Amino acid sequence: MSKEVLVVDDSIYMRSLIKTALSGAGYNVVGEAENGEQAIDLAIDLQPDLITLDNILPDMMGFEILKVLREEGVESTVIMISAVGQQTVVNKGLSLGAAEYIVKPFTEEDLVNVVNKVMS
Amino acid sequence: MTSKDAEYRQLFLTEALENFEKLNNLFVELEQDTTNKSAVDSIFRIVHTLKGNSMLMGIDSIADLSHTMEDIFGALNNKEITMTKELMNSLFRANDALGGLINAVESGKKVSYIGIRTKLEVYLKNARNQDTSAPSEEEIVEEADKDIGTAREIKFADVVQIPVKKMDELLNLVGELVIERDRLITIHEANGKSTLEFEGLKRISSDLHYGFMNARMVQMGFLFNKFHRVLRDAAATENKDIKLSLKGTEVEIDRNILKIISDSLIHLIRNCASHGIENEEDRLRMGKPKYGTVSLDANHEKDNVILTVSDDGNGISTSRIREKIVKKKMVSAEVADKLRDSEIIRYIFEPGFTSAESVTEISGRGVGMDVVKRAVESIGGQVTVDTELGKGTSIHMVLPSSLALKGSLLFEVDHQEYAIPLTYIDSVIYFQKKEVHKISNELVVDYNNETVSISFLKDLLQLSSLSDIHQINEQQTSFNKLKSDDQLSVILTSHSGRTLGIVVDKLLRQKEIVEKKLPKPLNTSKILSGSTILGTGHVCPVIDVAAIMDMLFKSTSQN
Repeated sequence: MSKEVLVVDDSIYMRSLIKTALSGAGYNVVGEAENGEQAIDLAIDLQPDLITLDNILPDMMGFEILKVLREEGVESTVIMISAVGQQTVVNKGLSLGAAEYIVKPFTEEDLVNVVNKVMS
Repeated sequence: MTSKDAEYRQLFLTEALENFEKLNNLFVELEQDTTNKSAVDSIFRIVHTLKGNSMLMGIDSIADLSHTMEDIFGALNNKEITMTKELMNSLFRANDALGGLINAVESGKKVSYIGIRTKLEVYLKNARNQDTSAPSEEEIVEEADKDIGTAREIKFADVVQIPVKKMDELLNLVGELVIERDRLITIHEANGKSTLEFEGLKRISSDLHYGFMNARMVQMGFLFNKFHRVLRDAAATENKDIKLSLKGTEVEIDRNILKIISDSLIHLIRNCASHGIENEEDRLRMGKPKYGTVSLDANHEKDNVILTVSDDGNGISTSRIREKIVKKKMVSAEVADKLRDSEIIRYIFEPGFTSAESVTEISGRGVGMDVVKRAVESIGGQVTVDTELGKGTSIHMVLPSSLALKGSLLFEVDHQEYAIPLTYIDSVIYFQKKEVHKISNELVVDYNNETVSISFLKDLLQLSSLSDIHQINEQQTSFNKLKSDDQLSVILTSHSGRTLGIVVDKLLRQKEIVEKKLPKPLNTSKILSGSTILGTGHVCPVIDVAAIMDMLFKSTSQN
């Protein structure tokens, strides 16, 4: 069975890019969220295998979402997506249990490689 | 689920739904004017209540979300943050989620709320950190307890849940039935027929009436148990060690009465914690145990429930009250000197009186003792105080155990029937005019070696406004018309520790009545609390003894 993915990003362009890339690589994108609030509710609801989590969202930071999800018992693998120069926030995410991080801009291939690595 | 659990749950739900209804209205008000301080205050209070109640019920989701909302409104209240459009939108959604969660208690439906809760938390954190440039990201220690979705099994409780509103409607109907029954019997009697065949109907309808009243009864313990937390919080703020002792938790009382007095009880308990109980050093110096005790005690007495809130604190100083009421110009110094201690104490129930020198966080705001008094009297109850300096204070509340049926005395003035609830009546006595004395414009009689003021209800009813009450004493119209051997029927009423004889034309009989609120525009009348319909079909107004006594007492102590 193909792994289920929740894509979290406030840019519709980024979401469709990630969605296309992961669908092409055999993953099943089951949900998309454009802010933290949606992300948390969807993640609790769907309990996906993987969440790609943009680090800067309009209402909260990615690591804040991650923290709440872990508190709520959501065990999904999380990949943080951040822009350059956000090393401290990325570290924060990793310390809270993110499996990996990807720095924007990235290619579809970069993304699929990282996802394959953490999901294997 | 035991039947008691179900009962609590139902009470919780009904109250939560009412609260949610209020929240909805308040949020709309707030959106129209985001600076509306009273709306912010009210929302803060309501979500606080919801949080406390749901914690006790063990409904974590509601507790969790209302906690966050409370934080936000607390911050708004303290001006730590200001309302923005974004925040307002989030709060609206949080409120929707809250309503969803409350409804889900019954439906078991899944409601998402963690997203919006987190959004609000993050918003609050960021707003607070805005000035301090380095965002602190201290981690809250992990909360371990994670219940993994408790599976719901299908189980039929041997209890049905009925909304209070439906119960009220049914009770109302039964009340109408009793009135209609009395009307039929009266017609029959008037036609000279035997009413024996009505005995069965009489008994069944009475049983039905009591049955319905009984169904609305809940145990005091339901309310009492909420106060552990109230007291704990208050004690913590005051930095005192206080224990709560509960007695009479099994005493039953009408659910609506419980609701009306619950805020008053919270206030009284907080009062005990902040003003009553001394700090530890003072207690030890007085030779008292280190920890203070606040007791809640419920007792049945006839048709009433006597509720007592007492503390073993320092008591109330009457000399301090005397000073204060003179200073606040509530009475003149000469009058204050003449008043007995028991009369002085009653001033704590006057609007505008606060006894504590300093305003503390706990009891400095919100309702005062006057609000407690008003709440209790609105349901025909009475409040009294017992206090002993150095030993403690007790506040007694005499409450009717049911709002639906009142034992009353019926009487006539100018060929119109009136009623006074028995809770106010001490006795009924007869005097001749010559036994009545005039003392400085006041009419008094001697009864059991006490001097009792009397007033003619006829004169009271003639007043265009109850605040003109002092005019009666000057005119004494009804009294002057009497011949010296005319007999006076006097109903001796007492309220708040004072006694008044009310003179009526003719005493009729005792009867259990169903008191209804007066419709507009009659409801502005202060002298009447409501009305009932008698078997004859006549409307019978119910006299508001509390209001009359309060006005009389005020006008005499101000002169």
